[in-house]
Amino acid sequence: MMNLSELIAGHHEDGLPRAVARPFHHVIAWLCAVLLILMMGLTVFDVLGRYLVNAPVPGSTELTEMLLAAIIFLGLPAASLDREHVTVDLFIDRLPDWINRLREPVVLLMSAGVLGVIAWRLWITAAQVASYGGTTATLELPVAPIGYLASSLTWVAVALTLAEVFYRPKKEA
Amino acid sequence: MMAQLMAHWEFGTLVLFILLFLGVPISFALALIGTAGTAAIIGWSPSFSLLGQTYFEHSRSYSLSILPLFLMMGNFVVQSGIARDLYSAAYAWLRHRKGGLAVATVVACGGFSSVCGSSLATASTMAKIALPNMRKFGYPDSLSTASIAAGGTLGILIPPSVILVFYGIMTQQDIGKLFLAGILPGILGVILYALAVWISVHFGKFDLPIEAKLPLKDRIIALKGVAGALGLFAFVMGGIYFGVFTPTESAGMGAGGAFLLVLLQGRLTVTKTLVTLYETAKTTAMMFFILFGALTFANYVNLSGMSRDIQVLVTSVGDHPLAVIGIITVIYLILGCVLEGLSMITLTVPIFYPIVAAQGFDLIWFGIYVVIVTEVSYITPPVGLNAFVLKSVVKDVQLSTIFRGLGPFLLVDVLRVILILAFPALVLFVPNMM
Repeated sequence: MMNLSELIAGHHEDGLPRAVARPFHHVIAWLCAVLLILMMGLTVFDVLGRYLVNAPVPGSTELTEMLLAAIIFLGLPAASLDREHVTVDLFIDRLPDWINRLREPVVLLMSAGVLGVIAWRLWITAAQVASYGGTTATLELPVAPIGYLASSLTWVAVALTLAEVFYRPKKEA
Repeated sequence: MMAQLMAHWEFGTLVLFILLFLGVPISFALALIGTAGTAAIIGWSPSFSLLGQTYFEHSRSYSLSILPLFLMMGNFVVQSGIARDLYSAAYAWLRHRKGGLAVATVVACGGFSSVCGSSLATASTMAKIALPNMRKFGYPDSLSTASIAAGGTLGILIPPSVILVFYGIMTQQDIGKLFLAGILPGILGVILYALAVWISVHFGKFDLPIEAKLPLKDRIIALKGVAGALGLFAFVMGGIYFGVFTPTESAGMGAGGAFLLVLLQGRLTVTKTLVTLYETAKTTAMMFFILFGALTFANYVNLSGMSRDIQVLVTSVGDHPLAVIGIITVIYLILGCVLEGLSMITLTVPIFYPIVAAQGFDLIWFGIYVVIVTEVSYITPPVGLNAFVLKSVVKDVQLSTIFRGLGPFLLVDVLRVILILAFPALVLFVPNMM
């Protein structure tokens, strides 16, 4: 029986050593599982409630919206860790090894830079929402915390991407 | 200097493609050029504000929650072992026909790629299941590999299609209608690919064995494995068609149904569930970041006058609806050499849809048309994505062999494009019945 991290790592290119990746795989997998099943359950109960007992789940739309944001930004460090961001590899596959050894750190640094700016701006946007006390329509839940969460998880992705600069996966035999 | 140049979309687009060819992830390259270009026009502060708002607002869009739910449904159905079941069922029904194994492969690949949503996964899974069997019965590698590569293109059209979700969001079209519009062209695609197999067998003079016809009872038993998934598909699409639930709700119900299906089969362990949901969230993030990047880039496209300039350019070449569609088709076939479908469509649709709308085309129709052209670009030489992906999985077959086999498939794809152009009702009939 393979463990969770190995099963996940089986499909993709390693961004970091297995020992470092393992705790991230585990934590992200459990959190995603809980949130996705919540999101699914919310819709199912909302629809069944509406048709069977004429009582939809109150505020299910805005809860779904918040869950979506959480799932996207939880998946982001996972995508960075497993190097799953889509690239055009038509040309880089044909480049000689030494060029790719120079190219890869540059690309990772640029990716980390873009993610860093996104994380920074998400935090500022969240702070603006907090300053006027933005809440959801029905349940009046504050919206800003989701923005802070998104920003923090993006910083995690920045850290993982920067760490990847220093890790060189062993070439397949 | 750089800042002034970035205000021109020609320069920004050039830098974008340089970054893409350097291997910068598409999502990040789009965000970078979109933000820098917007800043060159309206200043850094407003550009940064737009960036934060784009990522924050669109990550909380209710209609986009359809995406992780459909991905979750697909991933659970994949866990149920649908690949082998689909192939066995198609095989049982088609094995007594000449070239039947290749048609079975097309059907199974189309079905599987619509569930899993990935060309790579389709090629690697189906190469393991379908290829050995075709080789055993003496099918030439050209036809066998071509039927896998071509069949795998059908998935992005068969609902629930991620590309159609993104198209619907960007053009403000009804996602349910887009899904329904994809049904007939999808079926047409399967029928025409069967024709392509017939052409290959007939003109290639392949001596293919024909197996004994299975009794009806056995053929019906062979459907058992796919009954659950087919039922789920009918439930989801039927629910949308009859207005029982919205597309987003149908995705949630479908995900719940798929979860239950695999659970009842006893094929689900805690670890498998965790891996499936981890992959779902990861793919969700990857796709949303392409969308966010494309939306950031779309700000730049609008502010820099790119849409307007391209509109002038396209209509100056030929100010006739067919000429406009022709030019756009050629652009997609060229871009398709470089970009995969999702990136290509999120990048280009904001530019093209106002142009085609101004020419009087229906935007539901255009959505399906764009997806079909993208499918064609996946198998068009010299760099059809699916042929390359398959070549990386099946190492002992030459790329030229795959492309040779794909000839008849490309031919019928051209026929399908012409049919869709000539008879828009093929696309619009089902959604207009809603």
